[in-house]
Amino acid sequence: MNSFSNNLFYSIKQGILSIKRNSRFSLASIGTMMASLFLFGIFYCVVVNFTYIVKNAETNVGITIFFDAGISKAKIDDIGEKIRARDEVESCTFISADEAWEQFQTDYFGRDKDVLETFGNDNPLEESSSYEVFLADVTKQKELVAYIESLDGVRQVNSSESIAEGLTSFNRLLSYVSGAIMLILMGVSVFLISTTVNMGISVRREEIGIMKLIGATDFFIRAPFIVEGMIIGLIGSVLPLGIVFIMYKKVVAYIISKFTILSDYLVFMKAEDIFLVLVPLSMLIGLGIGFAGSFFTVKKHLKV
Amino acid sequence: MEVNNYKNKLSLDKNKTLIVKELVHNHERGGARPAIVMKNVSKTYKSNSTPAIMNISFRVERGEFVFIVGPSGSGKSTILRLLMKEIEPSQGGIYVDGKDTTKLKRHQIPYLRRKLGVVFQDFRLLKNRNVFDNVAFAQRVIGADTKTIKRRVPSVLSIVGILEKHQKFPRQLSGGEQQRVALARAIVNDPMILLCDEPTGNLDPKNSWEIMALLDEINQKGTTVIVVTHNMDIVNAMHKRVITINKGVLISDQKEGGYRDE
Repeated sequence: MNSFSNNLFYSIKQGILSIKRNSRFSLASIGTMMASLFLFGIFYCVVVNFTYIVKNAETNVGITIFFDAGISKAKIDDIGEKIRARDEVESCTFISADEAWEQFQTDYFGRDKDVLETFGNDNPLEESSSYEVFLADVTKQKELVAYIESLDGVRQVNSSESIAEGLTSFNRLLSYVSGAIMLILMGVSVFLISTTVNMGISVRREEIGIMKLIGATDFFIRAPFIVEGMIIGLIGSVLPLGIVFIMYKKVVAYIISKFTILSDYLVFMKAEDIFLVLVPLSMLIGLGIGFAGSFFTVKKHLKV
Repeated sequence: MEVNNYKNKLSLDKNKTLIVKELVHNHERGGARPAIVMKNVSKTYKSNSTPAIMNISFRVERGEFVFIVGPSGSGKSTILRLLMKEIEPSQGGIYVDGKDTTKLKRHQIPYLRRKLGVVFQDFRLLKNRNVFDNVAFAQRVIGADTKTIKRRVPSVLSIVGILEKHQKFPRQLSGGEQQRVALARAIVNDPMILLCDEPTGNLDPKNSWEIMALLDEINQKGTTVIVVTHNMDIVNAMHKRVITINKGVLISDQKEGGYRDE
């Protein structure tokens, strides 16, 4: 083995030993990291679920298209083809006049047979066959409506512009706010870790001075601190992940059981799907903060 | 260039080849290069307008034993700190093993320090490591492998007479014992120069003499030894070269000198 690999193995060993030797400082750092990444984990779960719920709501925003009276079946099919060819369209389903009337009866009259009997075999919605269109991207609703209205044979297009716009702006606001809060959380974490590492290093300032005077390179001095910081970061990120995972499952189960009436709207992401991203993300953040916190803090003390 | 000249001057029969090998070996180890040269060195600290040392010049050959003496605050320790490149001179040149240390880049400083073993008055041992690890640490710094460390450290601990306490921590040792550990750490990498800053300052007379005897022994084996001290008894008894500094100025440099309180 050459001197580089000797030094590397030694640094890793010393980093681990150092956590043990400076157990108070290590615990304080792990605690700080845990608190930051616990908040980050909770916030991440809230944000991805909000985005998921909004996205889900977006897919329920539909456009209904009615045709001119006496329009041929071939013309209706042609309109359908043109609509389906658009990128922003998720689905386009034909609703015949009979299906529309059946749905209307179910929605508005229910079991009120007396009212239904007055219609006999007539279908008051005879001229109301339609296309029900759902969008892949709700922000393009206005554009799509304008296009459909320009098509020959289209009598009327029903859409809820306010819902689409509301969802779009809410989603935008959510991404801004979540971005800002995550940045603040990162900043606070780096500051707290740097302060804790700084405290730990001040205690070992004399040790660093001795190392320098007997000919240790900056790498040799810095490496154990960086290993130590990264291990602390890793432990500090894994522990809150476990807590957030258990909490998430319990909170989601509680909300679903308490707010059954909102079950159509409150569709939560599976914990497994969230943690598939959150686990590596948190671990990377933990490692990164541990690395950066140690690297820059030790740098200040190397000028001997 | 010098090596090629040697080769040209000698015909390469077997005996002469051996001579060339020796010359090359000496050349590569620095040959007749002095261990230390200080040329008109001055140092003024930012916190004080009066210079700590002024126009100090001296030369130390390889294998010499030199005392640097003078009253407290005379600038003795400043000289050692300059040699270790812990501080920069305000003016002048400092050469260690022929290299101008004032021109060294930051990343080259550790390699200069590896040529120097350093012993301090306050020992400066790593408190959370035992005797063995304190000495092994200096070997780790130069990238020595575990096998070498396990062979070399006990041998050095044995030289300074502290092998049986290799598992003790600094707090479990007396001042004299701690200084032996510091000395072992300083010589474990076989430095060219050993710098000692008041090595007996915290020791009783018996331990002081023992440490000085060890330093003398290390010097006999070829290491250049520089000892900063104001211990008159030791300086006067050892009959070594003495450089006297007073108020930052070199006032005498005697080959087998002594030291008087003035």
